Amino acid sequence: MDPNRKVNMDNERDQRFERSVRFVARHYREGALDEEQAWRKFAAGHAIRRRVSLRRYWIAAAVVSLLVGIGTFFMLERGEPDWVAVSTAPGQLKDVYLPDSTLVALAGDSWLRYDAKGYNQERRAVEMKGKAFFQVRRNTARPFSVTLSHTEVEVLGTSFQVAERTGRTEVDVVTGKVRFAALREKREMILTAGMSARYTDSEGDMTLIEEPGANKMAWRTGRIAFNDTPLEQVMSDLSDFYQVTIVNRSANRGARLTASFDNQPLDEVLLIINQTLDAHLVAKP
Amino acid sequence: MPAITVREFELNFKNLYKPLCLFALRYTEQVDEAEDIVQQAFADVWEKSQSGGVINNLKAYLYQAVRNRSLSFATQPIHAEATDNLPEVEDTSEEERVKQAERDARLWDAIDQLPPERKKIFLLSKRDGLKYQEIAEELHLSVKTVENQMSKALKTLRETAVRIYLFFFG
Repeated sequence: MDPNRKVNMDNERDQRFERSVRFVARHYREGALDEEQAWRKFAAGHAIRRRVSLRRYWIAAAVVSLLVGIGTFFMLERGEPDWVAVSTAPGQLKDVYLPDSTLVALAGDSWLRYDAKGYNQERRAVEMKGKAFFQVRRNTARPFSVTLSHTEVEVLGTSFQVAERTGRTEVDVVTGKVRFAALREKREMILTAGMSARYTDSEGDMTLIEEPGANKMAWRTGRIAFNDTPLEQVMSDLSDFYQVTIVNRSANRGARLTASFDNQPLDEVLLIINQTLDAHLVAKP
Repeated sequence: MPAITVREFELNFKNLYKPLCLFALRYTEQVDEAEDIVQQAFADVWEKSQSGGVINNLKAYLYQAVRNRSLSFATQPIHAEATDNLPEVEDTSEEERVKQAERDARLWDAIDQLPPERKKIFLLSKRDGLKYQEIAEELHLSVKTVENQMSKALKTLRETAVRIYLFFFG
């Protein structure tokens, strides 16, 4: 791509972002646009709760009359869980909003489950397999947790990615703080913004990853960036992102690349890299 | 075709509420009015579904309803003045405006979640237009601190602007 055109596109995007920020900030008001409150108002105005089976209400009323003054805790019915499950096929991406507006972006070949009834009570718990990016709504009163096959991640309000593939689970924290813990043994780590860790379930090994890959989130952002990155790492990141094998047909092995690509087709990307580094990278499907 | 359940309606309400409000806000320029319009649009849907009506694409229907009500509001003579210079509602497609509303909703959430001090600084800058020096004086901080906090705030906000492939579950 013509470098000037890229700079212009970047400027355009930055300007649009700046305009959006100003627009939202101008109207921002603490407590406004609160969907929980809005729903309560809506439900009250349309007598929605009353449409629920009367028997539940009778039981709840009896309990309330006995326990007046002790929080809402005892008013909640503890019945059967109301499971909500979402799954994706390989290569498919899906966004799921949990009842508290926490966003879970599921990557391909992944699965998520939570109890719609129990979710926003004392805790917010979900189970998953595969890979997902989480943007968790801040709620210090209700810890958020993700349970995988062998590990668990617990947070207060943050954005992070967790990926579990063939015996390895990796957590990358973008913002905030998370507790990453093994289920079967006493191993845990507290990770803050920019930190990553990996757990290998066969060895029971939990380690901090020293150089978290810059392109961990590329599958979601569409943007893949390299900063003085060794060619081998470039090839590995490209393979991951485009889902093909990349081989180097030239003798040039030690080159380093500084460039970024925004949703460009692979052949364009390889053309640019090959010209820039005098290499010969080729994709094998 | 089965009517929408309360559970489905509630989830849709909560997921779409903020984006719909921010969509309306581009026309109304007033938050309270935007919320009223969105509540009315949902009420409309609710009543329809209760009287046996079937809506095929709930999201599209809601955006349409909100848009209609917002336009009615904005074109009333008394309000037309306030909404006169509308650089916000450009000549973009409906689809683009919906995406914009969803981006705005994520920005709003991100601002919501900023730590209190950082949020205060951010709003003084981006909402009230104060310069960093002015903010520093107002809050008795160093300019460096203000720069630092703004940089962190903007970084967080930028992260919400990632391109997301949207599928609605259910």
